[in-house]
Amino acid sequence: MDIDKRSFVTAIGIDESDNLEKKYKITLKISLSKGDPATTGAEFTLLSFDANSISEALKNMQSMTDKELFYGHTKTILIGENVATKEIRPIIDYFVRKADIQRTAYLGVAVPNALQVLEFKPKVEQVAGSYLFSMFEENSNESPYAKALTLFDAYRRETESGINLAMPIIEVQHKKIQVNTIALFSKKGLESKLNAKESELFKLLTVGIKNGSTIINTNDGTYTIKILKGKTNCKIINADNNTKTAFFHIKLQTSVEEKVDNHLDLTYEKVQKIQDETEKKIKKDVHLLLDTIQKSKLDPMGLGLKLRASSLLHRDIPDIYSNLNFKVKVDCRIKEAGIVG
Amino acid sequence: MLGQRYYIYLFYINALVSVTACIPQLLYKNRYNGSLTSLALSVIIGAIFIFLFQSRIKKFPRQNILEILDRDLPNILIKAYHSLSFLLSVFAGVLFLNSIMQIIREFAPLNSSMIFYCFLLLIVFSILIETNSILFMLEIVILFVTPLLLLILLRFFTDHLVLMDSIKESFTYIVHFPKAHSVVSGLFIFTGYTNLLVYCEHIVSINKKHLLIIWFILCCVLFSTYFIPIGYFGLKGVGLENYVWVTTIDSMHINYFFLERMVLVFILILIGITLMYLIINYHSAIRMLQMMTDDIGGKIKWFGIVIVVISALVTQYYADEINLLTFFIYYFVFRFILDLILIFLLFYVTKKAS
Repeated sequence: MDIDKRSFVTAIGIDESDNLEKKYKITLKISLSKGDPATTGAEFTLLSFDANSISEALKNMQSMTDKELFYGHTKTILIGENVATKEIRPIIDYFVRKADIQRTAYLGVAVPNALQVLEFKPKVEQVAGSYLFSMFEENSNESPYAKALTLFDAYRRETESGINLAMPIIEVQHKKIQVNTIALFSKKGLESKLNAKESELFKLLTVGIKNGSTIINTNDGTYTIKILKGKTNCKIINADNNTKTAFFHIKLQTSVEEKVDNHLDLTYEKVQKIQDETEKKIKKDVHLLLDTIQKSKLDPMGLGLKLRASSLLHRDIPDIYSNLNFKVKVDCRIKEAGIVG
Repeated sequence: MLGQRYYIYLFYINALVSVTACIPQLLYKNRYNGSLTSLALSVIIGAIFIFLFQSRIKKFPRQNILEILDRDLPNILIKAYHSLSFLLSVFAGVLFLNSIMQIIREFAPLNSSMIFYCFLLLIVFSILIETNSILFMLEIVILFVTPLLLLILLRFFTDHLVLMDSIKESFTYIVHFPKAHSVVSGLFIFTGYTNLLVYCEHIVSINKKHLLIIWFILCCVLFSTYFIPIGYFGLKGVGLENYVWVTTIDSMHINYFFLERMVLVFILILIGITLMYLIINYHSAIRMLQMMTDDIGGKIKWFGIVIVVISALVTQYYADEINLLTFFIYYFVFRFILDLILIFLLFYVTKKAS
């Protein structure tokens, strides 16, 4: 198949249809790159169609172009907030079944809707749609907030019991795209959202973070702490049949970045004090986050799966959070203040 | 005479081809009730079979199976064994060909019937060449394929998206009795030697150390084909996949390789492995036919080739994916029975000879 007989779909958006009789509004972002590396191929066109099923819409959009729609380079699938709150399973199921879409495509919730996110045209972009993609990619963007969710990961979180979906939210605000919050899903649909601060901590608890930051108050001033590297080990300890303990061991490598309204003059005692305060603060914040998640009764960290993996009995646990205690231990190591002592 | 490493290659390709043979899918059917114990049992039985075979075959160096069996056994029994072997090899060839064609049809945007005829042509030409040349071909295929497979293994160990909890969860279902179907399908990986019988007259006889290496490699292949997809899809999701290994590769994010999407590369690897196995398999089938009729170098090989081609052409129209799985189980069961018969015959012959 020749390359000039194909049009490359780089992103797919799924929204609720404005037409009451139709269920979905599917939008495809099609790259118009010429294949010439000297010119950036950021030109794109959008195709939209309202239909009751995704496959019907894709079929109809095929008849709207002269070329074959090629999904092999589809890297991002955006689900509008309205669709995500209603039902998520059929959408993920459809894309997993489609063999020509990569299982490593990224998923995200689009706020206010997928069409507006796809319409957004960034100033610098190599290939149409690559902006969205590299927002998620770990290597090109080390933002501490975005937690990428790939298609196969989403599907296993839907099918496995004891783990729930957590999807990053892509938001269009003041003509800018921002990915710094996380949406929590039940098996059916979107249930609640975490704010930016909670999202960062959530990422610390699940995959670990790089380049995070936090503000610490001690009695001799306020410091900004940069988290160079942080990761968490999570264990579930089954004390007896009734009480369980989820044990989070957080390890942080940090450095003191700046002192608010003053210059830094660190001594060993001060560093010790900042270290203790950081540990205390992170511990408090994590407890708050865990309480919020516990209240939502969702299990985005896979605690239920961890519990299933730890016993041979295979009881079906309807509510993982009943009789569950959290225990958080934070180890923080401060590398003082960068290259000036 | 060729070195002992050719034995390793023959066992190794027999293990690798288990991905085409849907062995992971067959094992996952019992993942909640006994596939782990079945795996353990098949590893043990496999080891016993390999070592028994070695202890028998080393008494007849540089002899082919006809010469070994031809001492004391009645002629009709040898003929029956050879014709059964021939039929089973043709049956296996048909199954593997259909299985790989299904994967190509599903994942590669290519003209599949054209590919099928190309494969058939390649197989027919290759099985007519000398046994030694086929073994050299095998070595080249193995050398091409192994680095890529190691890369996949490396990616699995460095991927933070792998759910280790799912793999741990699969271990919690260990307290179940083994299931016969799972044991037999796991055992297929170890019973590669029934294909070797034609080849062993060209290879120096194997010692215990090499057999231990072989057994270790086979265990590695068996356990990684079973556990790696569980890490990617979870214990429940892994049973829902029809082409579990191809989609596992699709789920790996390999960003330090020249291609970001590894599926097509993996399908090429799979085609290489499967075609090589088919060539080995059909070649031994033709040799069995020649030995059975004592017509080496005569016209009987054309009769064999006609059977191979016609069986492949006819089954193309009737194969779909569900009955392929059940046919693979039939094949493994028959294979196991034939292996048992062979071990028994070899014991009988060595006892008579001593």
